[in-house]
Amino acid sequence: MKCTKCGIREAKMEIHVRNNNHVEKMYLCADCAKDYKPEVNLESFDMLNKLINGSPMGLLSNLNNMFAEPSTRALICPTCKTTSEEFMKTGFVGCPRCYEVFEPLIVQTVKKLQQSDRHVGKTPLGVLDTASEEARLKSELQAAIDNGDYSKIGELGERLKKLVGNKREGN
Amino acid sequence: MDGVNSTIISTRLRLARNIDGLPFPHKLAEIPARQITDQVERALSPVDKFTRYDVSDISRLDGTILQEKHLISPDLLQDSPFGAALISADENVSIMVNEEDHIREQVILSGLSLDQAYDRVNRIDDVLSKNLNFAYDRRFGYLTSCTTNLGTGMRASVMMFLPALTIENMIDACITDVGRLNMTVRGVYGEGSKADGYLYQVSNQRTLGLKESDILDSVKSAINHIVDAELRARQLLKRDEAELKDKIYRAWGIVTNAYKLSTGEAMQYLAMIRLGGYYGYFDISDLDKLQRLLSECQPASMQKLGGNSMSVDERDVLRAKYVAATLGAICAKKDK
Repeated sequence: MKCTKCGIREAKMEIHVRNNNHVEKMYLCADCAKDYKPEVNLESFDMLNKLINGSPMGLLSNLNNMFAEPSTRALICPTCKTTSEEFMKTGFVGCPRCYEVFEPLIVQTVKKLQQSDRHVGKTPLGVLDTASEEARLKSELQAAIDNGDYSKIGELGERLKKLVGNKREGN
Repeated sequence: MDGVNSTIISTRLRLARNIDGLPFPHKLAEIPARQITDQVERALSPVDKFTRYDVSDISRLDGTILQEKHLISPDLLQDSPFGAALISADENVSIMVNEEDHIREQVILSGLSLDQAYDRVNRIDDVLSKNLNFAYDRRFGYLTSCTTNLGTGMRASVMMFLPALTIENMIDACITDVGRLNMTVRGVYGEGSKADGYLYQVSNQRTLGLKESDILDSVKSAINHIVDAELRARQLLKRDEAELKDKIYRAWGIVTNAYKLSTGEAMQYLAMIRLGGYYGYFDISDLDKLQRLLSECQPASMQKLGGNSMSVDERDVLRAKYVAATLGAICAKKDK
């Protein structure tokens, strides 16, 4: 296969760069790959596997199999330029956006570290606590049903449906 | 002195927070980092009067003293060039800025005060959250630079005095037990040896997938377990009471008569006197003061007290005088 960038030389590696929800797949020759920082090459994947096995945190070893999947290879955060390699080596991400970019890796890591990948604690002021809101709407809906307030039943039903739908999307 | 008072020194509640849209401190440039400190300082003004210490401006001595008092972390001083701390007048609240995360809100209270410390830090967090846009994700919770703090960003720690478990070589088994409850135990000044005053920090490991109240409950369970184990070990320690009394009274003899006292010696002997208070060999009128004496004995604090540049020997002489005078005011030996 020819390099997708220069179209001349043979592609030697595949890289995936995630931008928002879009993943761009590129097949690059060794020369064109040098334009991407940090340099990504096939050896670096082997090195990364070694890093995972020998992680100082001792908790990332189960990522071997996942890392073999192309979609998680050589991700770079477009905001802070942190690479998946850097994250795997240190356990640190560079900015809030990294959590979107490295989500599959992070989910695997935190499941192992924290025995969960879902927050159930406090929400910042101004952020809707969906569980409390759902309970409140359900109780208002029940009251509307008891009172036979049909216009309110419809309105509350719609709001509840929307909230539950959003929650599923969020999941 | 009851079992809990004799084993628990203080409680620390910490929440890690970051500002949305900005790189975390290890990737952050100087200007936005300083702006965060300014924003946090402004946002805190309705809460209390805070003193600001910028790492770039503070003297090495003053920085080390804050570290010896456990108000800031060693990492803030060593690895955070644009870091700062905002500390309340009563020194119960310390907000570190641009350490590992943009904001580390901490409340430190004496004794076992997990609920009170959480209430206070939570109120501060609400005030900050009204003025600052925290990085938050519905799935992962509060976003932090390291995934070990993700979710609640909460670390609830209790500083414990565990001489009997250490002397009886039972501490490792106890650490393994509470490890099963997802707690970590580490030495406060080092590895919890006698020269470190037998002080340990017990804190939650998990920050994600649990409510804040669940974390507090799990720390309380672990603390209860450790307190019971320490008190049982103190009974074992008393099986040869003459030997125990001799060690404790010798500690008193040295600490009240020595001409020179190193930091390690002071930590070791003060720990024995505290233990003596538990067994009723001493009347200790002010346990908090006895605890403060441990941080006051540290090298930088002693250097500050001396008022000028002192050699190690001069510091040891001053420490001996200071410890003897302070102990004389708060501690009396009972008749044998």
